[in-house]
Amino acid sequence: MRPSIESIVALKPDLVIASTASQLEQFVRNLDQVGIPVYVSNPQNIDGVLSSIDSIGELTDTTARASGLTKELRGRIKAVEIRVAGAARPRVFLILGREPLITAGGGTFISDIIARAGGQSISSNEKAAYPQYSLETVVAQRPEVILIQDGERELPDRLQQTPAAREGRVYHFDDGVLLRPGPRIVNGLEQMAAKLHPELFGRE
Amino acid sequence: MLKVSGIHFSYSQPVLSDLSFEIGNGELLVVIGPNGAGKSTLLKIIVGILSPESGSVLLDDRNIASMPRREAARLIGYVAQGSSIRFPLTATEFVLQGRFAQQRLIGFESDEDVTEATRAMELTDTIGFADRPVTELSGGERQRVMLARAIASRPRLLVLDEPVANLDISHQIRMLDLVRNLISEGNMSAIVVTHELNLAAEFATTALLLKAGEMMACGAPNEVLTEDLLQTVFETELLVDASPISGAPRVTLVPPSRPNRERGI
Amino acid sequence: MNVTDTPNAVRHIASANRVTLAQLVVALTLLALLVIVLAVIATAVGSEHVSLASISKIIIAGITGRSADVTPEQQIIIAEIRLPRVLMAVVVGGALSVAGAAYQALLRNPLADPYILGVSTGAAVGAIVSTVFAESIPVGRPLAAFIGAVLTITAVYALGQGRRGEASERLILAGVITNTFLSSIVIFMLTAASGSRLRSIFSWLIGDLSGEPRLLGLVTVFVMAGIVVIYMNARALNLLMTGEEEAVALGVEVRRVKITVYLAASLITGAAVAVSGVIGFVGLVIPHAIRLVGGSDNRLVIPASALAGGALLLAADTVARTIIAPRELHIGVISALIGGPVFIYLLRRTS
Repeated sequence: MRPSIESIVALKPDLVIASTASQLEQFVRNLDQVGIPVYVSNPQNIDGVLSSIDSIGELTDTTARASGLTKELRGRIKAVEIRVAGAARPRVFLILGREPLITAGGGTFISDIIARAGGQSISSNEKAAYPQYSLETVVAQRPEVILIQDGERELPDRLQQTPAAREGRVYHFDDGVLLRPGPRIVNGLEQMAAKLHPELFGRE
Repeated sequence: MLKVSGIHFSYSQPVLSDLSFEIGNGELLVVIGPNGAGKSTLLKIIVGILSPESGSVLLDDRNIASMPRREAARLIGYVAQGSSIRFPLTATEFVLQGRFAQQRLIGFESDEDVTEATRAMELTDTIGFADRPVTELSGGERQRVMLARAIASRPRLLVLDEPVANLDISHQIRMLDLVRNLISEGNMSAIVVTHELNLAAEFATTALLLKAGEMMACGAPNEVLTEDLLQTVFETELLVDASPISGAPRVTLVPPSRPNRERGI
Repeated sequence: MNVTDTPNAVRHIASANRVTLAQLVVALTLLALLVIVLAVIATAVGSEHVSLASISKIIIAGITGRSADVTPEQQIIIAEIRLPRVLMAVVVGGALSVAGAAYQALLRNPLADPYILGVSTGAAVGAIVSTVFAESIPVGRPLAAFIGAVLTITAVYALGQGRRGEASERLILAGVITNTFLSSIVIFMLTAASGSRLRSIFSWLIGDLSGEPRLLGLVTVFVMAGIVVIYMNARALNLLMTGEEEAVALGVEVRRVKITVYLAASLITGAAVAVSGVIGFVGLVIPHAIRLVGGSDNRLVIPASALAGGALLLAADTVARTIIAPRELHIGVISALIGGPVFIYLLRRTS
């Protein structure tokens, strides 16, 4: 749903923060036209998310808190990367849509998360952000882990023979931690690393 | 051979009231009357497209309404008013459709169907464009093809709704001459609706004058196409005398007076 | 004027001015061969390479009931992904083309398509509702889409009733109004849907043959039954094309034929759309193209459209899933890109 410009103007904000993930380009232009300052964040990967936090810190004059946050996040990210370094990367397939089969391409930050969590996304070669993907290829690639977006149903029948399905490594994930470009994606990163490498993370 | 008795029909208003008349073998009945008199409705009731509220139509002593649809279709050939067809059927395909009532549910035309259609097309002089799409034919040619379709099942009765409406005078004459020949040779009768009063006078054996759904007169043309009757029904001044060629009634229009000219404008 | 049964005249009529059984058999055999060739190609190619030898083993094993000597991945790819998709392309292409031909005859309009009376939009409403609210129900979307289609068919038919039964113009009007109304509901629901659901339903709206094959057997039987019912009325439809009153006068039970054909055509459209979304172009152009080449006799147009429609979607789907593999293109776009030029060529050849 689109937010109401009038309500926003009435609030006389000093700053509006928008994310391109919400597909609100026109709305942002409208805000611009009525003279309301807008910061648009458009991170393509985890680093991009961190720098947008820094930018917002500058704009809101809270640089101390911002850099404190990014420092903590960077620390946690590093911790994960160190843990999974050297471990074999399981082949991961991400299901964003069942019918038709939709996955995430290489340029998305969820793809970045998978990579940093120590996985190898099957569709990382795709340049398109959310391509419709061939089921044949997924089957042929024998994914070891399958991630399904929350709200989607169970695994498609025809993927029941994949190594992931046979070993029970099919996980649902919450949009909130993996698809929204904010600090919580580090939570997502940690959760995903734990799923991809349970032997490295124990019962944390 | 055709006996129409006590036909009543209405939409929201009465359209036909208590119509009764008869046609004998080999007769050509022309139905004339002003626009909205109910002429087309009468034809549709005879054909079986519409059902009257009361009254009956007997063809060779059989009630049309109680016959199976296919039987009635075989016995009556109908050409509707002003058809427009948007699909390029060939004339042959079109005429062969007239054999529908004789055919089984699924299947293709039999030799008999082909022979009868050929005959129909020869009689109507349409065999020359057997392979042409009906959408490419001229008005007169298309009318003849529609007539061929109507006679393909060798019907007992031909029902033609304004068959000469868009034809030039030469084709008008040829068309009605063709109908007259068909019924004299083919053990058929015909009912024709037309606005061409002189054509009607020339070719009809019987004339039926209809006004506002009521039968004003029915009989020989010179009894029905009289000055009094025509002026009353059409509410306009007419002069009726006898054609110098055939003696049939000849209707001449009387131009309305022209006040503008008299006032010198 | 005398009747002369000249041999010339009979030959004149019996020649290629009309459809004969022999012509029908030849035409359908050629088209069936085309479908078979395309089906073989479609089974043999895909985003993953599977050898012809393996494919044959899988097919033979499927027929004999034993298991094939191939990897489980190859088995799944061929038997559960590709072959069902081939069948779906043929069935959906056939259903939409026959429905288009039937509507064109019924509405006496060579430019009608199977979506003109709102069936696809009703199905879309059902599909979106189920995608947004009831995602967890198995085969929920096709079922909801079909229900949406059936409700729309009923509503349009009821709205199209005039004083004396349904006139074609009234039916078209009812269909257009319903279509417009339902379209606005679809658009509203689309604006309310969130990102990933939006992508999913958008793909369905354009048409998609990659869906779950669970319902495929049912849909195939259903569509074949519908095509048979329509074909049994083919000759009556020929007469209906020249005018309803004329058809009555020639002996057609017009009311029965119209209801039967309308229901059958709408239901097979609903079934096709339920499993494959709204694939455009096929239902309008295929019957039209068949008519350009073979004449307007529905005894030829209907079965020929079924086969030609299947062939077109087979070709289009094969291109859609191989040309930028492993990504898949939308089939509606491909079928238009393939069919469009062919249609233009036919149009120019015959005018």
